[in-house]
Amino acid sequence: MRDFIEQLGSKAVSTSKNVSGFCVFCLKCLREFLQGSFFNRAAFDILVMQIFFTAYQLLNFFVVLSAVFGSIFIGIVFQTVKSFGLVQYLGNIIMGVVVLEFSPLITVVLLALRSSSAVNSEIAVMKVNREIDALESFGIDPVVYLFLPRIISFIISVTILSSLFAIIVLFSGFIFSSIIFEMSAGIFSEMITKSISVFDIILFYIKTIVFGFFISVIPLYNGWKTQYRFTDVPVSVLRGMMGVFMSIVFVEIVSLVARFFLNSL
Amino acid sequence: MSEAELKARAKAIGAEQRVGFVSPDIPLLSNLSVYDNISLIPRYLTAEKDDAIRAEIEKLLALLEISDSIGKKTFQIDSDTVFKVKLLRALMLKDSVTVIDRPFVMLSTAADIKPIVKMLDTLELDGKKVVFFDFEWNKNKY
Repeated sequence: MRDFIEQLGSKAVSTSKNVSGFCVFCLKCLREFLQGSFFNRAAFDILVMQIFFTAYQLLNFFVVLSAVFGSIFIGIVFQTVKSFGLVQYLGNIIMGVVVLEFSPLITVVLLALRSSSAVNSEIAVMKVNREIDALESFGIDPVVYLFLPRIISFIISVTILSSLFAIIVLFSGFIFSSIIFEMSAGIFSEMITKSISVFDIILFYIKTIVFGFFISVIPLYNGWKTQYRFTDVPVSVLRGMMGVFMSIVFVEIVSLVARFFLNSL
Repeated sequence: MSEAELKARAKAIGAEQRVGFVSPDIPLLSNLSVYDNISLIPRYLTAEKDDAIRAEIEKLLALLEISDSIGKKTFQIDSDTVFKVKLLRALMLKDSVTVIDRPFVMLSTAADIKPIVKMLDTLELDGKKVVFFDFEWNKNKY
């Protein structure tokens, strides 16, 4: 019994240390952001390069994926709507489910798989190689030079790519609605504009920003906390990716609750 | 002094930009080219124009006869070039003391200190203080 309590206590202490460390890390990043540190030209170069790697390099694949995945999903939704006779709710379903929920979720999952893992391992290897110590020894703050540009680039990338996904899905929706329901472009656009509010758009962008923040800051923190051993690199990536997954689920739940709350007002 | 205190002290020294380290324990950044490794210091810490920084670095690389390495990544250069790049990086810190820590670990083929002194002479370091820090067992090389 005593062992169990001790284990529980030790787990609680290590978890609280980890959480408080993460919060301090986030606050430091936020402070540097508010101070505009990313305007430092060396950091700004990293920001531009990271946007290139995270968003631009992925663009062709992302457009094809959005078109294919979006069309399949829209097709399924439309068939279901038609079968159950829910045509009057078509606009709400497209905007509420497909555009506002599905687009950021697919985008963030794709970016987390592709870029968060890469960033986590990159920072972990830099830590083990003592390259981060090298930066500090020359008076270069790793938060300003390494972390902040990556966080900002992830936020920008998730926001842009989610918007792109939403546009492609809406275009697919228009094509499918004209085929399945013989709907004209005017009626389709009227239906879409009627089923969206300013709050929805604000919530969409807040969600993409929060997604972008978490899928970058968690891998960065885990990479930075890696011990000086190469065997610790996979452990760091594993922890980072688990954290990213948990944060995606958490943000998704919070956004659903927020939408429910706003819609009930 | 504990490890944490030592680290904090080293960080403070670095933050004050008074010491430029050339050490086997302070590596080059592996994802940057030779030029980017050297130019990072002035580009991050000073307001010097990019063209002026580039001209200065090209001049220094030419003096040390490693101009052809300017665009190479660190894994593409030999240990002698790594040492030279580390030295140039340290020299980029203005108004600082350059500390060369265990040079013969980095330049394992050097018989004595002469090649390094020659290197420093070639760079025409006006008023720059360079300190060598080494273990007792290398005393005969100085």
